[in-house]
Amino acid sequence: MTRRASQANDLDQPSANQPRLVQSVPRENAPSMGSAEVDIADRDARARHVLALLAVDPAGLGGAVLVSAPSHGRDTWIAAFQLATGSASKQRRIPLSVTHDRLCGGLDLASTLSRGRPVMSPGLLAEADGGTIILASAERLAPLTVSAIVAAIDGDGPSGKHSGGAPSCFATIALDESTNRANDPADADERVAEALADRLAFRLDADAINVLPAGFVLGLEDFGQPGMRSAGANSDDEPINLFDTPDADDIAAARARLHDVTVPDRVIAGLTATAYALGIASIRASLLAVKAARAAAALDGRDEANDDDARLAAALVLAHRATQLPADPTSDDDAPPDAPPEGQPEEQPEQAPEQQAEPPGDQTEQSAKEAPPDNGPSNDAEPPDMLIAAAKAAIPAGLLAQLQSGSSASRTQNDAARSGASRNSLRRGRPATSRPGDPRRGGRLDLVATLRRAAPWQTIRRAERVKSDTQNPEAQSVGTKRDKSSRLGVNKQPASKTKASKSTAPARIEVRRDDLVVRRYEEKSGTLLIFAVDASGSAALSRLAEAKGAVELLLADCYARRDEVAVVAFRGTGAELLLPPTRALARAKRALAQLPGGGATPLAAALDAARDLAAGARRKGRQPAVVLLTDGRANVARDGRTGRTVGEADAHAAAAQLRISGVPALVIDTSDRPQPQASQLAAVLGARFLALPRADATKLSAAVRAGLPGA
Amino acid sequence: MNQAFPFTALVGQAEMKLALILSAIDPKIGGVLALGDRGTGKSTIVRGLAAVLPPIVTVKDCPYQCDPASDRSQCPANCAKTRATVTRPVPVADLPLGATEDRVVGALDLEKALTRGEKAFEPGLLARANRGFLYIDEVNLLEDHLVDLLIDVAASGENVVEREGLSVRHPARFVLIGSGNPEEGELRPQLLDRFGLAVEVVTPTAIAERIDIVRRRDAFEQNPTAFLAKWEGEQTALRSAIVAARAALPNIDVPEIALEDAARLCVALKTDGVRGELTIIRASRALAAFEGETAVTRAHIRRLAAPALRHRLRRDPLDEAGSSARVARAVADVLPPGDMTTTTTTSNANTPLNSSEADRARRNGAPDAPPEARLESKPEGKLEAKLEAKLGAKLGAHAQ
Repeated sequence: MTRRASQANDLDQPSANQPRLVQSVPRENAPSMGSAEVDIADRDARARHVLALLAVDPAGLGGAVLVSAPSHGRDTWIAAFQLATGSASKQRRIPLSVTHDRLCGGLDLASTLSRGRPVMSPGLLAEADGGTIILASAERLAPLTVSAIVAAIDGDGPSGKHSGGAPSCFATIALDESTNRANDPADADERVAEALADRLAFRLDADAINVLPAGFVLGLEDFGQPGMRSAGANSDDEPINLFDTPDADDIAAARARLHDVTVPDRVIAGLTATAYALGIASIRASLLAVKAARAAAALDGRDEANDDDARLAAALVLAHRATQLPADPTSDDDAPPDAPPEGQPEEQPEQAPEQQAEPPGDQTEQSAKEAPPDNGPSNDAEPPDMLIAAAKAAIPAGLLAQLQSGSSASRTQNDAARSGASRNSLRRGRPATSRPGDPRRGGRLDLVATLRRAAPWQTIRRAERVKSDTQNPEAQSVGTKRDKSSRLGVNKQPASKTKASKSTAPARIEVRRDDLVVRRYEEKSGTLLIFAVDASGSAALSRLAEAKGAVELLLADCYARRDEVAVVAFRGTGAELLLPPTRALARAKRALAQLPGGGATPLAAALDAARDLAAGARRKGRQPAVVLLTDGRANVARDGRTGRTVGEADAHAAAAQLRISGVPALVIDTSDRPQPQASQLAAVLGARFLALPRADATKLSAAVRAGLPGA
Repeated sequence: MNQAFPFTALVGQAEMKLALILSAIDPKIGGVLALGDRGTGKSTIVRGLAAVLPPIVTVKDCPYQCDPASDRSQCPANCAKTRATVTRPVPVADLPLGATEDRVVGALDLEKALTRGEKAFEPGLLARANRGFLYIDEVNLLEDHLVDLLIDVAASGENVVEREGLSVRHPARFVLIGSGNPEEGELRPQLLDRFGLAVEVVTPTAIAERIDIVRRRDAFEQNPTAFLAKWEGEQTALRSAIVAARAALPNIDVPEIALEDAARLCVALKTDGVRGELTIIRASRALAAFEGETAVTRAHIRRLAAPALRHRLRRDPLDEAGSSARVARAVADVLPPGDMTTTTTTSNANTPLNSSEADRARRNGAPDAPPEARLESKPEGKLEAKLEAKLGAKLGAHAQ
């Protein structure tokens, strides 16, 4: 929580004369959720709608992922959300470094020791019941943390006596601060865990949150001051309209209505069919969309969700999950048979089917920029078509182009592979969980865990000691134990064997060998083998098949050793990360099999890509190694210029950089006849060089095994 | 925990549901592993399980859910003295990914230790799962030492805790249910093999089915009570079917030819050990009981070959076809559909469907079961021993 946001909180404390952010917005001008006037391509509106819907049904809709670097817009959005959900709701910020105990609750060591009875702390997730949790840097949360949060969202979270009864119920705002854009291999696994994102209905991108007028930031400084005014160019009379949020009363009314809002079958069917047509595998997305439609209807004061609600839901919940564009919306004959031919006007007075994605009036220009050119002008009332159009309109233009160019398959593959990679970091680089053990056998004492383990025993041990002392007052056995404790640095008081010390004994913590807990680190840091495969015309003609075969053999090897592999292919104008680091070897094989050959040889780009990957792996504590399969005949420079001279110069420069970064490498010359280029490259790289004329795949694989230490 | 979504109202995922039902009929099948995409309802199915299973009778206040009819002298809670009993739903304990070893096996009771200075054992999840199910979501991400521990306890049916004067040994017989997405981390082969059945859970692709799922789920979340009431009939019907199947289980005939089929299938697939055969036979027997038949037929074996064997194949990391396809191929090759008698020529010519057990044991070359064994009160124990002996013989014959 930033300073400003907490000011927003303060502001929201119950007090009659505090100004409401939206108080001066005439009610009839407030945005009517789900009405046909909704311009779903308008990003500003997006942030507003998400905020309002989420405030109406925080638990049902799960929450939102905010993809943005820390910014005023983001803080403002969060503050506004807090306002909309009402002053009573709690907000808990969960830092990246949160411990499992703090998250899920557990024994509160300090209070337990001081009070002499077990004191349980409820944990952040339980504390957030009825409120909001904010996940900072959500893209980097440890898998364990993610799974605890996900369990809590699913309603079986911190369970048992520690949290005392009912499962915690809260909205989740995941702040994704990753800077990665689409295909940056270095940040390949920097994204909010799929398990979490799947359960949060919404996603807002940076440009959807940071659209505030320039004067607004200045106005924010006055946030919480009476009569806050924009200090910008606006006249003093003009109030700040923060995201045009409906005020807390509207939200409360909508919440009360929520339970009675029905969602007609055709809307459910339409949203589900839309999700499917957009290639969204998870059923949860459809369910969340249905709930979003319900919340929209509730907010609009209706008892039944209509097609506009559905369109809004499709745009806000389904669009960002799309992995494909529907083949042809008009031929979608999977529409449920019970869908009415036209809307039912008497029940939905606001329905205006013809308005689906067409923004009215002055907004046209803005949305034309952002909306894809073809937002399916299908105006028939079949919900799926309209919903698809609505969702399509909300898909960012870049993504749309990407999808249309047919890269959707590789996108989904990457998604899954990335989640795999981040999952596996459980065993990489980071300290492993502490386990009972003896620090004398290597390993560092985990002091807190040791104390925690010893704490419950204190009463018993003291009782035992008093007993043994009274039985044998001069016995030194206890003293010996104390000596041991003090040797371990646990007992802060000097050991004393005098009787006088007995009176102070209860203040002393007795730690025995059984209690000792040592920190563990993963001893063996894993290996990441980066295959850079030359798929250019020159290599493809002769040896691409062989290179593929060799990589496959190596993959089988990697499987046995549980190494990770990544594949970079280069041809034509650049290098492509065919496969982000993964252990899913079947996928590696598939990626390779699909690799086409032909084109120029952008060797420099490939080396750069490999270096980025290696650097990323290093950061995660992995040992990267590069296997370069090429004929070395570079003819594309880093800037895309073609020509053998520039190509080779850049390739050598890139190779030198890779060498400086200290990544072990191996060059396998895949040219038909041995040529000097590949061996020169190997020399610059400081890499082993293997010229394998007419090698079969088995020999190649054996060569790699012999050629790389640890590979 | 809120009310669970009714098991019978779940759309699709027939294989997983069947596997769980069979495990409930015969816990010896050895647990269920569900692998597949997220958001496919794995957890929902498991959480709905308890409601369709017949409740169990336990000793009142016994943390280990001791069966009043059983020998309770070993119960660490000393429940042998208690006469009162309670009827409660079958326990389905949830093992969270972040669970500490203490929470799983049990630990010193903090309350008693701190307030009264008493050394007492506080049972953990393993105790809670006794006589029921232990569910591990994302089992593939579980820490190795916990996995080892679970394998150990699941195999021995007993949890042993030794720590500074705490020495506890309590029954922990449970059916292990694991789920996970293999793309997020491989499961160790040792653990794979411990699961009796492995089912693949895939996202339903039929739109009508998906719509049905969303509709029902939404209806449930809007009004759980009404939804549960609507499905009560189906729930009761399934529960009765499971009760009936349990009663029928000891009397289900396993003809020679079925054992032969199972053995041939496993030999064809080169699975290690006899666990595969045993699982197929046990599961087929439970299936026959569930479907009200009197004997295991080839149709049962064909249906259960994939879940019983797909996770026991030697892994070929680069085989894209996947294990299921390999099992399907083997089934098609080895066990063509249709009449069993046409495919085997040995030892089955005169097998009456309901020959006595001793008869069959003799024909198989195994010595008659000793009289003590016959008198044993549990028919299952004998049946298992016999199955194992027979399968061993079959395997030997086929391997040569």
